[in-house]
Amino acid sequence: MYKEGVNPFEIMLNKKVQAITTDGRVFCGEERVYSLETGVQFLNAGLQVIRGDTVAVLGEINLEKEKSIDFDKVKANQLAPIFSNTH
Amino acid sequence: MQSQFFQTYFRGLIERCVSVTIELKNGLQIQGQITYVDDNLNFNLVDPEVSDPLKQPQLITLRNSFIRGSTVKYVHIPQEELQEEVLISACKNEVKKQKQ
Repeated sequence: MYKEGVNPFEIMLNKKVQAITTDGRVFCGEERVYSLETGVQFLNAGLQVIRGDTVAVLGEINLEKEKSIDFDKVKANQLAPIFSNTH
Repeated sequence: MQSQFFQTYFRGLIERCVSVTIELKNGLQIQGQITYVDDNLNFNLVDPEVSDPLKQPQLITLRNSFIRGSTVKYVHIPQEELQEEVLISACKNEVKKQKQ
């Protein structure tokens, strides 16, 4: 849980996190590809080094909630890309 | 020196545990309680929610989400939490400082 004044990354240390990049892709150890035709595909991404300015959203994953989701049945559009003007 | 008054304003929202909606440049709207803000207006929200989780399920498993300031388009603050007079006086102080 967050405490005031604490760097938000500190609470994410040694936890499983998910990054959404500015091109709308989802990374979480593997790349998660969302599409309307099939359920969520998990692509082995190997090691991904993501530069800070490519990250749009970074979040800690609630593992219990993740287990309760049947990703084969999740069908959704990919997120639209974000083109940031800075950097 | 960069102006700090928006940051100060958001700090006030953190203290009052206000729930805001952050709209990203791609239109994705994330709602959650704001817990952190820094110089670059990066935000941290706890229990992030999107308006339509069926259409945008990418965030439903997240417990908290750090949002990079450069990807934010709008921060929607509820009317009852707005505290317009605080913003207005902060703006006036800022102008005074710049004139000095």
